[in-house]
Amino acid sequence: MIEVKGLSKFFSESGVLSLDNIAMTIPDNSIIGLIGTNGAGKSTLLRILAGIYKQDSGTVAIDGCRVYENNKIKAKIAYISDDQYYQPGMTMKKMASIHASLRNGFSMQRFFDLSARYGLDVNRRLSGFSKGMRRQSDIAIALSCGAKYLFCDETFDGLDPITREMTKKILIEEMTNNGSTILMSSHNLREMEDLCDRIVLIDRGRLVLSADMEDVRGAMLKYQLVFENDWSNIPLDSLMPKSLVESGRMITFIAEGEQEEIERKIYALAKGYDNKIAYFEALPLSLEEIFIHKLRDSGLGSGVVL
Amino acid sequence: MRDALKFFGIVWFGLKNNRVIAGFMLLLCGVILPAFSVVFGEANPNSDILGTYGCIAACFGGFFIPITIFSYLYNKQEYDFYSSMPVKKSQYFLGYFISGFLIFLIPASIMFLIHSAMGTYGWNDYFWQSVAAFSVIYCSTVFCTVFSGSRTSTAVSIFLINCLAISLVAFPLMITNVDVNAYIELLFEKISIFTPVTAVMGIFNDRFFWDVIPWQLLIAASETVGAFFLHKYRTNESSTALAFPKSRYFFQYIVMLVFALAIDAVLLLISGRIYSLEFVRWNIDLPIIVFFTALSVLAAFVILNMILERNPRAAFKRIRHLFIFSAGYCFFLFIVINICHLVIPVSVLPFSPESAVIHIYEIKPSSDEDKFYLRIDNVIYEYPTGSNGEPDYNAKPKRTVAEMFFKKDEKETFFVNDRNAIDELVCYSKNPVRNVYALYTDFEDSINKPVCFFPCGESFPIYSEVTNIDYDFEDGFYLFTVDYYDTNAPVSEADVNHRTAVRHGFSYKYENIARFKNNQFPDE
Repeated sequence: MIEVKGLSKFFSESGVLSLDNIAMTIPDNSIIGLIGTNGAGKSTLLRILAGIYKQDSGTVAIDGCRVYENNKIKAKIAYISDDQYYQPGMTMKKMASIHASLRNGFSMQRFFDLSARYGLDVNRRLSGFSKGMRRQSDIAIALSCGAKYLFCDETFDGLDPITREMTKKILIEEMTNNGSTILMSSHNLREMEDLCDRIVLIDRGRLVLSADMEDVRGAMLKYQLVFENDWSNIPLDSLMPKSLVESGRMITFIAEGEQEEIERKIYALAKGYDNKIAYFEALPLSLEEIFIHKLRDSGLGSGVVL
Repeated sequence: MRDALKFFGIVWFGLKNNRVIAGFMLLLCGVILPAFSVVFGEANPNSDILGTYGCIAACFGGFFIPITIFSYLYNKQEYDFYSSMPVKKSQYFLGYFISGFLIFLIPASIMFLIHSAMGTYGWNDYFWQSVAAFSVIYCSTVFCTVFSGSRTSTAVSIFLINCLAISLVAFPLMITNVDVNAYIELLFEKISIFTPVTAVMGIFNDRFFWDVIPWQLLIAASETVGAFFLHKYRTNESSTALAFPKSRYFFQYIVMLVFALAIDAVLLLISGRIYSLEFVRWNIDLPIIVFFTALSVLAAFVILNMILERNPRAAFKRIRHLFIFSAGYCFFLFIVINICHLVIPVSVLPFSPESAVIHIYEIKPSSDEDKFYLRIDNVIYEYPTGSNGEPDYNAKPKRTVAEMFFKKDEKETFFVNDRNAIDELVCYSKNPVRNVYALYTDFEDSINKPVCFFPCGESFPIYSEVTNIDYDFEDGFYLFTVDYYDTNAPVSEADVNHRTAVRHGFSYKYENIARFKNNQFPDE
């Protein structure tokens, strides 16, 4: 289990408070999506969790132990950076051998299997790989480390759709078969929606949301309804919609809360104003829509208008 | 056991990761230098060619191996990569440190073994000296590499660490009105203790090796410990030229200060002697001092700005800092001058009243029957006499009395570090025709001119009929009492006794005391 309490990180060189009092708990054997705006602090958080950076305040504990300069815990972690290091002239095999020499649990057999699955030539220089192929090699090497925790920073970037599907499958297998916990950041919210059990949303160093995917989806819904009569006198604002759009007779609004409660309120409003509801439907939001509205709600974010 | 294996794995990893520098060291020591021996060595079979090779290997390896193996500290991607591994920073440091040592030791051993097989002179004499010299240079460069945040600032740090001692010793020497050249020569061993690059002297000089290198190794060990902790607490979270950005301006100013001091010292050295401020020639010396100080401050500011901002166009960035720095630097100089003037006791300052540089024309038997002086090569030793009162040439010398200091043509000066010996040898060196006592100031003049020199650089002309010169040191004053005949003076004024009191370094005080032949003393 990963426990973060009161985590803050300040970069004095740039004068940026990258993380501000982050607190969250990540259960084992799950896939967690770390999402946020550009410069939100996702990579910094991953680096702190991987033991690369040391936090300025707060605690970070994995399986109850601190991470920074702790070999035993770091042996359980595999980190895939968004900007991975390669020595000049290095091949996949040499990169794997570096990992093998520094990690006791590295499996060359698994490395060869995964490389074959991705269709990568392990003896080819990494400088000759495309961006997507390098990502694939990073994933193959990371998964060969035998780590319990896998931290991926924008790993899906650069992967083609087929490889993305394959990677998702491999990650799910990893979680299922080996009990791994995977924490991944990405801007591709569509992929995260399919893959993640839990979502952590960060904006400008602050934690905006940390919840299970199902809870996130259920907490905010899109409602479409049609009134039988003119509804202009009905105060739909009382439902506190996040957004409200009219399209002919169809009204589409987004509201946060229990679906049954909102439905009850709508029907009560209609009845109260001698109106009837001809059509009503509650639709789930996409993760992207939830992301945008959550940021807007908290007064942060870049002010994106739908 | 597992940890030990992992540690050796890191050492091996360090060797594998730095194949290029390792390969070059093997090429240099295993092929190039032995090839030179084959080509040129036969001409000088007994020369210290291996000493030269050891010097080359020690210097090259000592500077370039640490810069290469610790270069990952300057690459944020690489540093993050290694930081993500289950290896502690201390393990990296120690493993790589040992790797670096092996990258020198193995090729150097091969080189010396090859020369042993070739029968080259003295191969076993130079091996440990070379290893010791390499260790000193290697450890100081490791320290600089870990302290710095880029290769350029590493180069600056290496320059400073090898020049700092010289500038810190030379600068107060200059302002205390002592001839710099001489005292750098005299105090070379003291300076060299703090100057890693001079460790190669130990390859060629046994005395240097046994007297100085142990201290240099001690300093190297403390530098290594310092580097260990710097490496452990270093962060590479952002790109900076120094590894510790939180106190950046503090370190920046310290570096600029030291850099400017070093430049200033070098420039003043080149310009020659600087007189004491009380007797400064205002129209010549003070403008020189001001000009060099301004130049060195500006140079330090510009160069270090470019290095620390990593941008040549940033040479004059934050120009207000130049004024802050200039003011701070001048204030610092003012404090240094006054500290040297007031605080440092004369016994600590390099010129010791117990030492002198003298001509020795002739060595006569000692007035003491138990000893005699004997010169062997460039050293004068004190030997005991035998039971019959005659010199015992088979006995071991009791002590070294004087060592050759400077020789030009056939004229020699010796450095004597013993007050009693000075008294004796000065007497012995009294030439009955021309009484020349040279107390050191200037190389050229002390050899060529029959004058009596004082440590502050002023000469006191003596007359050819000097009968005696005594000197004493009390209460910070050198008292030179010179008896001579003034052949032009009336007989009643013969034996005029000129007594010159010279305070060490900063002022002159002349007292003329005339003593009449009838021993009547005038009022002082």
